[in-house]
Amino acid sequence: MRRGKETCRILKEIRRQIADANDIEYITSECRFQGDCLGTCPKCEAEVQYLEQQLSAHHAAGKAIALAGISAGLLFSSATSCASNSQPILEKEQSTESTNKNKDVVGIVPNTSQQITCEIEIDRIWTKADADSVAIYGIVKDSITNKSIKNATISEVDNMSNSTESDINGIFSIKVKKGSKVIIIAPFYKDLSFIADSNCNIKAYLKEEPELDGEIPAPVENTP
Amino acid sequence: MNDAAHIIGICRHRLTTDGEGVTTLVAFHGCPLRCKYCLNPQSLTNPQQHPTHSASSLYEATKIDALYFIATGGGVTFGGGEPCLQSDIITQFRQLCGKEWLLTLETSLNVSPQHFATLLPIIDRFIVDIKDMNPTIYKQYTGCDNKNVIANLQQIVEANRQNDTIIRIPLIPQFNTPAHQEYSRSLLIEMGFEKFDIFTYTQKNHKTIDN
Repeated sequence: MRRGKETCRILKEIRRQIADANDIEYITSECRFQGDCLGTCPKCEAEVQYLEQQLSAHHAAGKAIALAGISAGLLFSSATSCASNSQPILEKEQSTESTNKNKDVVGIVPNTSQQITCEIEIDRIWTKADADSVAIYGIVKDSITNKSIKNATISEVDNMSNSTESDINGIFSIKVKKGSKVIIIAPFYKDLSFIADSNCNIKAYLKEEPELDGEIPAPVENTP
Repeated sequence: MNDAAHIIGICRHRLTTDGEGVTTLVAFHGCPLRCKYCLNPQSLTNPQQHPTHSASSLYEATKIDALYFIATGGGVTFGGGEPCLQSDIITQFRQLCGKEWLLTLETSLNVSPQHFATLLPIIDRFIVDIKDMNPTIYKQYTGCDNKNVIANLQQIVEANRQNDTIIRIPLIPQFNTPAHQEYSRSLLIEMGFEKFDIFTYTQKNHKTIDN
């Protein structure tokens, strides 16, 4: 039962991080149990009790305890689930990615002398996931007025024929190759791009393109 | 006030399936719906065959994993069945576990608004299986109308808790279509919700619930 072994591995890593963060000596051994496993056992539970005792002792001695959220990112990258008897009989197709709101700053505009960033909020969600593709649902808005932008073009950069447009409410949905770069283009706004590495809802806030100063220079003629 | 409830299962060490962090799922017996493809039909069987728990015994059963909850930002997810029917137990549980544990509700929201109003301020996250926003399809699939669902969704909006809510919109074979899913999503977006889980019920070795 690989899930149980994977759960055990993750929980062991969490215990190690707790011990490291609180300067607790944590000596453990590799699990040699062969066969079905629920992800925990008396040995693992004993390690938890040991850590709790050590943390209580630290607290009683007036030491600061680091615990809240120290392993918050671990599960997101691991993305596994455990099974149990209370799982539904009817299985649902879903990814096991957790919802994790990240405020990523992306969208480096090319061909400018100054690096300008646009903001994009990515909420990773559980949706039906294929092995090779991810589903992106989102809304495109003006970064200043917060108004929805319709007819923005959302495209997979390496496959520009895979493209869609935001509707009158700025809403769009697109399925792209996992790990591919997606670009959002709208007239009078700077382009915005991001990497689609998971199913997610996004809010893309586009910045207005600055007005051109002066005349557009004429092409340089070749002189003989 | 309910002091104890029948529990159909307690599942420890759930990783990312019920929200952030390490979670323990507590599934209550009892549900007002009669969904054709009920995910947990044992929640509708004779309750006497399931053990009862008070809020304190539930806390004792779950606090073994408190270290993981706090370290990973996880906690306890209440499901079932319909957990909102046990608002008394959950309220008492919150008083016992304190604020550090993340409490999540997996619900259909098809309960009286009074039940839900009690839970709204003490729950951190809501995972709502909306079935379908079309009232005819909803009635066909669940055997109930969805007026309470709409009323409770409004409560979430009025409390400005949309950001703490994930709406699950299933594709239910023989009951709705992807177009119905998209329509449900558009209605919910109009209400102010932005987080969705679009998925498909897969029929595998299940027993249907006959009305």
